[in-house]
Amino acid sequence: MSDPAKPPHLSDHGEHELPDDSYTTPTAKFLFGWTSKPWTSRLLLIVTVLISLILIGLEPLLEALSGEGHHFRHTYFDIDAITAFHAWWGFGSFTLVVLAGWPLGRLMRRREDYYDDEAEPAGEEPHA
Amino acid sequence: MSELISSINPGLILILAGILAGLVPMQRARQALTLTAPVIGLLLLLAAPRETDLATMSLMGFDMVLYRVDSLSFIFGLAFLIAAFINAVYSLHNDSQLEDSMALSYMGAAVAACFCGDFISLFVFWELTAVTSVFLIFLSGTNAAYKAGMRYLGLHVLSGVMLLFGAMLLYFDTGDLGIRQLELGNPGVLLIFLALGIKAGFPFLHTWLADAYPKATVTGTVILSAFTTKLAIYALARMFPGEQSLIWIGAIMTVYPVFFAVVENDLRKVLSFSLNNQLGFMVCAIGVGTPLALNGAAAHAFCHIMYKSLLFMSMGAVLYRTGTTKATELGGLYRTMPWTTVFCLIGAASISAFPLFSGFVSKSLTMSAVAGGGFLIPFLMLLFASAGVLEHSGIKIPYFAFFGHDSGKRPREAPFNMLLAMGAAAFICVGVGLPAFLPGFGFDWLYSIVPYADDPYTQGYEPYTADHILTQMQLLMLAIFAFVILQRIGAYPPEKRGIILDTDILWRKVGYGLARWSGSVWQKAGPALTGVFGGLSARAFTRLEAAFSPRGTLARGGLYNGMAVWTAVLLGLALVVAFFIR
Repeated sequence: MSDPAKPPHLSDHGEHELPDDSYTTPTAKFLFGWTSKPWTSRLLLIVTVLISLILIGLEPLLEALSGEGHHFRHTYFDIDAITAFHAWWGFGSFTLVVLAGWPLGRLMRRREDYYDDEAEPAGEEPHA
Repeated sequence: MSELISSINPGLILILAGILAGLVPMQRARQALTLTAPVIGLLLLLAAPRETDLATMSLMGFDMVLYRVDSLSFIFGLAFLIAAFINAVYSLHNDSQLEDSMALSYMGAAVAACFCGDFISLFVFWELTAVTSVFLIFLSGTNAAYKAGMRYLGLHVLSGVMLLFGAMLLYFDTGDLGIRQLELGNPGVLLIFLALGIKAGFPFLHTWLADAYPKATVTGTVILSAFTTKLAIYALARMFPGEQSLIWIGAIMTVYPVFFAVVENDLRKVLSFSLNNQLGFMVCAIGVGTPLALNGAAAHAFCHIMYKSLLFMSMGAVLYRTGTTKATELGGLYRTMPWTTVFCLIGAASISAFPLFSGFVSKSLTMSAVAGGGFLIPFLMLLFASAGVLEHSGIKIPYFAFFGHDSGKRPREAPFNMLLAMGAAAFICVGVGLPAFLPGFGFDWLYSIVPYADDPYTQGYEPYTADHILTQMQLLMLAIFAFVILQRIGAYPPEKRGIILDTDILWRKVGYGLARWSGSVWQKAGPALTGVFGGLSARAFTRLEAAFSPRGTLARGGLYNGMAVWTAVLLGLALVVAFFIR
């Protein structure tokens, strides 16, 4: 992985170093190189918070701009007339689904050889 | 001459090419067959006149309509033929006579079934899709694939038998075998409804989908994903538009796969659940049944065939290069497979319905139709499922395969033909989703080929309103925000190796266990019973087991997967007997 000359017991098993990028193609570095930088996670957080705030804030603004007697949003029910309803619903649904993964995983996950016929991996030899 | 040409069902061209491919050992010749057959099919379809019976036949006193094109079958046939061409490009590297032959026949059967005007010819092609497609599962060669294929075949042959039996009951009631809109309430119609339900992945009838698709070959899964289920959607739209129970069935179908997908480790299985969830949107729209809703279902089916193929193709490329699609074994593949990553992201954006991608323009139709019909709870369920789609197909698939924790795997980029096929599918995903800058461009083209293109609501429908874009972006961005937060605080459940139980445990554990238990009891008790009968039946059981059990003669092979052939033959015989006795 990292340094082929270094014996394995002296390596820190890659836990404290950046992934090996010696095989990364130039296209990949150009398009997605930013995703494996140490600051990526913080940057993503800041960007998503900013965009989310803008999207939520935009709705009352556009509603106010659309003038007396007019509505910016075309709503069908009472519940989706709530300001930024889609934002809350999206956030809530996503969180529910992900958090449900914990109990569901405990409840429904079994060893890979649970069914006698699934012990072998589905798939094939890699075509390198 | 032109009349003769316009009377050929395009599906038959593909089936013929499939038969030829089975006989031709040269790979180049088979490549030419797989590439040209869909093109010829497309030309035939585009040239065919609409709304008239182009090919009819009379058999045993039944009038059969073998080829009839109308606006509903047109969009499905078109999507199938485009998908057939893209699949041909994707599998160019494949040198398997049997796989080429079965894939072509399977795709041809699905295309042909779209243009059938009566139940008998529909049944023939319906069963043909089942018995040809199962080879795409068998051919991956593992024992798990063989057994999953058998379960798949069993359910699909059952679906065909129910379709035929229902159609016969209907025929004896009404004297009409033509495919038409049906009303639930008659036992025959109920059988047809359930037959379609098996193929469409209704709740509890869905297990074959996530069971068999991930075990098929690299190219097989891509091909399977496009045809069988969408054929069922087509049949539902043809026979049961406006059937209110479908609204709830569809809404439930969108929700539960989301929960399976979040805990599943095999990424191709995640995509299979996601496929089931997308079918729910279409089923729900068919249940609403207004022209706008049916347009939504058809447009969604078209877009879905493209972006789901694209996603399966990208995971197929990963499987081809690394030998696995398990999330626990993958990660960081963008480094050496950047183009596959780009195409996967386009598929992910399309299925999540980001503006400028195909899912946005087709899903909006369905959502507006469901909300406009006043179905509040289904509407909220579909919205919930939209966030769920983003979770498993929009984020989980690309994140765990190409980004996330680095697996240390550095495979080569996918073969060029795979990239080409993915590029073509990605082009359609983007092209269909663009705003209509010119008439006939972007989504306007899609809306012009939907079944009820002249419906005033559809003609006046504009997906790119500020309201639509803003609410959709709110839904998606806040869901992404939730992902970032949950990932940061460590609340995102880690991927673990293992399988997830589904309702098929009923027959895979309990049912099989019961059969084995009763078998062993019988084997012990049988000889102990005095008299000829006991001895004979025990011997018969042993013989039967020697032939038919998973360790038996037939399962061991010889003739190509003997068990499969014999199952098909026996079920066919039973069918013929049932047909004539009545």
